[in-house]
Amino acid sequence: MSWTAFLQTLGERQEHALTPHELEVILCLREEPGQSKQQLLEAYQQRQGPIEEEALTQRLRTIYRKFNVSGKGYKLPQLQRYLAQQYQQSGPGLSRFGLSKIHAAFPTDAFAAALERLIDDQEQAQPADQKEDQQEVAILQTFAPNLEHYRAHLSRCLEAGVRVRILLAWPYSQAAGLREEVLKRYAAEPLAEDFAIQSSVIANLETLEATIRASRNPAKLEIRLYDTLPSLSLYRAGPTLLAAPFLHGALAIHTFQLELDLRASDALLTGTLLNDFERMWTVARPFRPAPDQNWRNELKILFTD
Amino acid sequence: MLAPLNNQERQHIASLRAHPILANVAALSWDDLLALLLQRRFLSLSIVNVYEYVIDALESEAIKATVRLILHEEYPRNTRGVPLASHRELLFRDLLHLGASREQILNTAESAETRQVRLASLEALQNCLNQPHSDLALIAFLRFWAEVLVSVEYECLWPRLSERLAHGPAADGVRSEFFYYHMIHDRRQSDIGAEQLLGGLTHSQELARHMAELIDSEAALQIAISQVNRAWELKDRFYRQFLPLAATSQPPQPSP
Repeated sequence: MSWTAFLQTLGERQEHALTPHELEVILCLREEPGQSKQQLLEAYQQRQGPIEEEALTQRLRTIYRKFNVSGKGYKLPQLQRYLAQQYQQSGPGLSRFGLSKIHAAFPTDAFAAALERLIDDQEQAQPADQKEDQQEVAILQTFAPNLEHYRAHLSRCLEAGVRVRILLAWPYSQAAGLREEVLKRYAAEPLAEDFAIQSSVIANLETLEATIRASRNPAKLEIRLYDTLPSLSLYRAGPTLLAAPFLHGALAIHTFQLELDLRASDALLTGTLLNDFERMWTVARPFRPAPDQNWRNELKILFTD
Repeated sequence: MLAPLNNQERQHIASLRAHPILANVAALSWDDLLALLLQRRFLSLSIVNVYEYVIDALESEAIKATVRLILHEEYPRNTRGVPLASHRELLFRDLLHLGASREQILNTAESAETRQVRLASLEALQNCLNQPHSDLALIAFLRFWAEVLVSVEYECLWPRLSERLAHGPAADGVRSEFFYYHMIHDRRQSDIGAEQLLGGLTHSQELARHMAELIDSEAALQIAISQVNRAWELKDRFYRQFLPLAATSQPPQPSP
């Protein structure tokens, strides 16, 4: 879990009974020691907007009381030391890599919640605060069996101005055919008799065609197709990333999922996965299932043109 | 093993590109070009019969599956099973956008030469039967007649067609829904036996993979070469009916 996520979780715990304004102050504390009150004030103003110094002081006093910070001397360094200590004890060593949870299968509701948070953040953020690299939805799959389920969320993301990137297998690639053969031969649970990656990707594109048709901001939706073999599926909503391997025995959404926080202090896991997504994004080819156009022909020749 | 066949194919492709008609489409008037395309449409309409015949005649289930897939692309559906415009309908639309009238397309009669070529093409398939390499003969003819040379024909015609048809998702103007698409996805793309793992396979390459598996002897190789020769002769003969147009053609008029 990242420092910010830790603070958020800690601040929301009932035993502390923090008000939303006090939680805003907590979220501006740095993990590293030595943050002065003036620096905290500046961090607050940058993150949350204007505040009088006296108001910040009042909030800090209440926070000290709620966290039982009562030692002699300056209270702010005591609060920081206490929080840093709690952070280090809060989880196993993997937390610094951003590993928040491991799910047995794709957490449908958790991803929906991450999309909701992203939409809320985007709608509340001032234009100057919006960081495109954080405020993004990205999906990497051969085909996404759950895409239709998230269609309304994706539409709302587009309306809110969130960039949405979808990276799927080119359905006529030999790699897609190979994945299909592997699943048909080795899947632990039998697949539907008419299962085919080709038609599954095209069904995803039909969903995206409907999304484009209904959207007032379709330019924010970018779709690319690849003709290679990915090793992971990725679902990203803002700082939340779900990653799962493509195993021989099951669809990726029926495989364990690593939930990662992209604000991790150590980017070994998250950075590697995001970099690989970008690499695949670069070698993939843009495709747009434009409504009312005969895009199936364009799709067929995408990699032979 | 495959080199003589690949060489023969390349020679025939070069020869068709150099055909007095296909090498000089720039000189044809639009009326003459449309007349040619309307005759060419009869071969396109016959493709379904050709493919169906091959499916019935093939013994290999794996090859049948490939041929069946290609044929079914001619009649696409969305994933809810709703039929979309067939490739023959898309051809009709392209012809309309090129300037042919609906009546012209529907009322133009098949010429005697076109009819002879069409029937001779079916006869060529019949001649593939009852021989040790019949599957190979069938797909060698089918691939070169219905895919490789079709792509070459459209590639030669495209400089004129593109005066009135565009291509690509961001194209200005009316998009070609038939000619451009078939020019790309039917084409030879690589030598037989040299298909790449990445990137897509064209129809020609999908059939070529089966051919490479079946050509295991000099006798088989010669069968494939003879079918390629026969397919080229028929295409050459089809375009010879238009030689009088080339003889009387004027410099091209600006497109409207």
